[in-house]
Amino acid sequence: MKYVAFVLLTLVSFKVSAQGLVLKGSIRDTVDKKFLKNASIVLLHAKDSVLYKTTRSQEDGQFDLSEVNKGNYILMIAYPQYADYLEKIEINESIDLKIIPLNTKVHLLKEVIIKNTVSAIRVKGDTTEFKADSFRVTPNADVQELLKKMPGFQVNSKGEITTQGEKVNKVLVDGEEFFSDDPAVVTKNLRADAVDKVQVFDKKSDQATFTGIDDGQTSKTINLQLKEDKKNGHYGKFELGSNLDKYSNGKALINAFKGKKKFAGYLTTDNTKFEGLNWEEQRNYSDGGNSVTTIGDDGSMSIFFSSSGDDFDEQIGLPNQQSGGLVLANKWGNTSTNNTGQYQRLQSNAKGTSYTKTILSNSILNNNTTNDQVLDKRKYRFNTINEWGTDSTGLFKITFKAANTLKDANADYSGLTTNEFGKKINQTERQTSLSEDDKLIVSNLSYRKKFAKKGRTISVLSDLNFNDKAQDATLISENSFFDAANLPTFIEKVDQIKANQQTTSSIASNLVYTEPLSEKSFLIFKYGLTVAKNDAERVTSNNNGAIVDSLSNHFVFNTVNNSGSLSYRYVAKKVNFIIGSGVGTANYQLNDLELGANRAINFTNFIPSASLNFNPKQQRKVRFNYNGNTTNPTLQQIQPIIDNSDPLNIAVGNADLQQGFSNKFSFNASDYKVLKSRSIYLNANYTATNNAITNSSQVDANGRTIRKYVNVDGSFNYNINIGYGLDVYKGVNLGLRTGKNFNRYINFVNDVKNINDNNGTEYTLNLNYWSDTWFNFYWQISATSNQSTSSIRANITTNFWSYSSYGNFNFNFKKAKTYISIENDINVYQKSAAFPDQRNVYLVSPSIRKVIGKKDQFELKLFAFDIFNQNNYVRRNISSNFISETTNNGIRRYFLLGFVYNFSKNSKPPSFD
Amino acid sequence: MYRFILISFLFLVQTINAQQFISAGKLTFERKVAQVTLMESLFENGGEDNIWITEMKKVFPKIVTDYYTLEFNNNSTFFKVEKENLDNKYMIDGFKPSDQNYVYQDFSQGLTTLTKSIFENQYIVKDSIKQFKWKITGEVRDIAGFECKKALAKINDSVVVVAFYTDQILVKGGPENFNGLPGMILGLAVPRLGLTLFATKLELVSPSLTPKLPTKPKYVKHNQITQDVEKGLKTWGKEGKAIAWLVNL
Repeated sequence: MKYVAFVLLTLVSFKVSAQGLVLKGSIRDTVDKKFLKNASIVLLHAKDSVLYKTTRSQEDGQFDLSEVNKGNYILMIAYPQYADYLEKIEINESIDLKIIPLNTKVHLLKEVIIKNTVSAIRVKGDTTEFKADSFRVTPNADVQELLKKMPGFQVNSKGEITTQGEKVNKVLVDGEEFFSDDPAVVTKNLRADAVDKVQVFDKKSDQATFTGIDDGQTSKTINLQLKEDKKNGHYGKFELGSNLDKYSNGKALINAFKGKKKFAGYLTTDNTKFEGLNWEEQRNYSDGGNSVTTIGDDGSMSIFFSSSGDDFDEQIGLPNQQSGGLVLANKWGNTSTNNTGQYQRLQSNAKGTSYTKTILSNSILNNNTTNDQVLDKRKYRFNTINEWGTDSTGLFKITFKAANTLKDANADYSGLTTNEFGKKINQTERQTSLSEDDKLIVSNLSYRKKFAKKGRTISVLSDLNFNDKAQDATLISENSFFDAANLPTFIEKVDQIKANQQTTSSIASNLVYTEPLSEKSFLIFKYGLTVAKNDAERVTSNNNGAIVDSLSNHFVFNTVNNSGSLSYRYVAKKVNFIIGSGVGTANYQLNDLELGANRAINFTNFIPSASLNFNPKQQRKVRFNYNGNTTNPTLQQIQPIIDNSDPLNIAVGNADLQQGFSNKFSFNASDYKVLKSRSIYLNANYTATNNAITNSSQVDANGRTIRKYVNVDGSFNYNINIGYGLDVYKGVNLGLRTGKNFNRYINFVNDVKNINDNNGTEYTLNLNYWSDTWFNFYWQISATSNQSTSSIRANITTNFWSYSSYGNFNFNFKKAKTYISIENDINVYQKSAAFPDQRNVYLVSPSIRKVIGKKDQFELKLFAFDIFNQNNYVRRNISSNFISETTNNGIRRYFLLGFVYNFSKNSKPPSFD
Repeated sequence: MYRFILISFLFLVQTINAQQFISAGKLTFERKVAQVTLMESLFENGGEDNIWITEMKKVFPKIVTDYYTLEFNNNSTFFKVEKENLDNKYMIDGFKPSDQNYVYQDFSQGLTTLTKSIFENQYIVKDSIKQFKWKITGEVRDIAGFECKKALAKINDSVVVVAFYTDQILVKGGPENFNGLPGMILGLAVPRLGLTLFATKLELVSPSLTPKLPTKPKYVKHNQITQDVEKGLKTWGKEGKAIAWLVNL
């Protein structure tokens, strides 16, 4: 045992003597011969200057570095105001360096008589400058590629650069030197087209900068000056598709830009879908699809876009559309202008059937109609949006939009109404035609200013709108009514010509001022004034030219809306809320020019609101929202005029209508765990409306309905949704959602109050897998139970289940440049007593795309739409005592062969993937 | 009069000498994140073919600035945000300063205590002080009136960190968890993250160096965070990678 202990001891002591070398010395000033305390003693590895050991000198200038390994080192000694002491040193045994003298910088400089201003970069007369744009490089080339193209530059395989016969030691970016320490930043991440100028100059040696003594040695340095605004270029595409028969489409799109100047244009023609440009194309080639991007208080970004950019939204029947547009935009300094001119034409033909069941207290009416509608719509638009930033805090904006829409519509209807025992009640044949010329001018003027005091802002907004609508319409209708023996009792014939003219103009002005009360709280004042005039004239005449007085009138309707509100806003890290209230008055002046009757109606609006956001943790949010809203009747609802465009369903205005008031509450809570990939949320909404504007229908024995607008209390609705999402298997996400909604709608049927309760419960499951690899998919299925009861016939409950599935599966064979995708959209409706027909649509559309060409600029596409040939547009509505199902035709199976040519220079069209 | 000038001159010399080496105080750092440049570097073609990135560039500020304090004495440093600025909008959430986060480095014990909130998780790390392989380059730069020497290190095997340290502050500390240079780090740049931290002010006040800890802290090691982030952000591509670098600071 003793023996073992001895061996161990010798081993340990041997190690100490072999490796634990000591380097010591003391630091002294050369002039005063004073020993220096706290001098920094640093030992670096000689081969790579990596820091090895460091210490400070003691009170007496002594230092010692212990446990030093054998090797070659650089000893660096530094003391403020003294020149650094640097010495190569080889350590094989413990060394005592004795006294190391340090010179003050001032002292040294006096001796050498060279004054050095320590500057990182010197760009002077000896600088050679190159303009990067004058060298052609491939799009997306990096800086390395750019340098290779420049005269006198060589770049070897290791990425080392030589110029003017010397190796380049440093590459700076915008004069900033630390980028050069990470070559990946410059050579891999910086694009050639982001560089404005390449400057080459000689930089003083590191040694010179370090010691403050110019040793005459310099090193080649490159500075990359970046462009303020990037580049010139363009992108675009040509697309052609055809099934070699009746279906075809074509697109030509271009976006060219030079600095901030932008020119874009497009032409489309398509009879396969109700779409000219998709949203991405609207953004890239048109005026942006009216999108607005904002950042919320929590730093999250949202892109809002309204679909009004593209007006092909009929969505039923067979379409045929053409469109074209031009955009010119420019920006200089704080000023920008954006001008768009557009033309759109849509022709469509929709054929459909509709089934309506009217539940009355003593009977049920079944109505079946077929319709055939032909539409031709042309729209010409011009928009200009101009912004002037007066300085960094003020912004002045003028928007002007003018549009002219011409519409021709012709429709044929035929219908039959029977009662619950199959007995004929009435039969109708109807032809209508409408030709409309609608001119609209919308202009908007706004000014926003941020004051020096944080949180103090003012904004003034003024809208000036003008609309002129002229309609010429004809109505030819023949309605037969039957007795108990199914024999026609009488026939009503209508043959009328209608000329309607409506001019509206309005000025709406708003002022918003926010005043900070403290760093976290603000007061917001709002004032709004809207003055509007509506001149509406309707002239209905029989085909013999005689004017029908009951259907002809001329109203001038003037409204003045005044509103003011005050709110208090509090913003802190975890909580922010806003609470406020507003009062407004609405003054209606109704002048009946035919009867010479004038009437004034005044409404007082009360608009309270409150909202609270609570973010207890990152990605955990709770939000509560309340607002009260008054709904004023529209002109059509309040004007005592008759609309007989469907003689079996006549709508009548009500001059005694009151305004409605609704209380809306919403509650949202969500929690998202990013690292665990788990999300959970709950949304709930509740709305109750007093004096809701609904209708009172009189259904006579002949099955004719006259609807009059009335006010009613007790309507409400709510919905609750709960969702849960999690990662189930290696990036495959499963989402589960269930929702319930309830809607109580109250109306009057033959003077009996009718409470309609509508109940829906939805269960949804979705699976999705996003990956950059060869396969990704999204798939969702949902089942909804729909139920409806009406109090006038409490014994009848209408219910059915509907199922839907949407999925898209993508297979990306990147090497073969072949992309396959299958899209399905399935809607299944349960058959029931109320809906005896099976209306199921299994829409499955596969496509295959192959990218060809040297620069991948061509694309061949084979697209099959609706391979099971069963497309239809089905809609069921069970929300009141009128239960209906409408079915319209849509485009069915076709196979389209397409060809796409994508072209670009210095850019690519942005997309969402 | 002559005597008075002489006395005041002596006094001046003495204060300079006294301040030649600083043992305790409070530094203010200005942290800038060049987030637009960073975002461009994370996406192919600078993100110009991605609508999200192009829209982000329109609404987010190019550079976001926040202020941090670094209090120190000869044995320890305490780094935290001066004040959260709710108006600062960050494109990448991970860069957003949180007053829940701090880094406390105790050099006498060789221990780091730091808290870090990363998405839903709040970590408390107690681990040995991080070691860096510093390469001294011999360049100098003036920061906040101090002459600083430049040094380079790498984190996550490849991401370069540029540091500037002064010999005049004795503790071998720095912002975030950087340390190990002969003096205090007054300037720090991570070019690939578009991140710079430069000292703007030194106050000779007595530092408060007591990290706030929950009553029953659950400590983890440095690599726990790295593991969790790498696992959680597997499908995030380059942005996930950048966040993984960031959480390692």
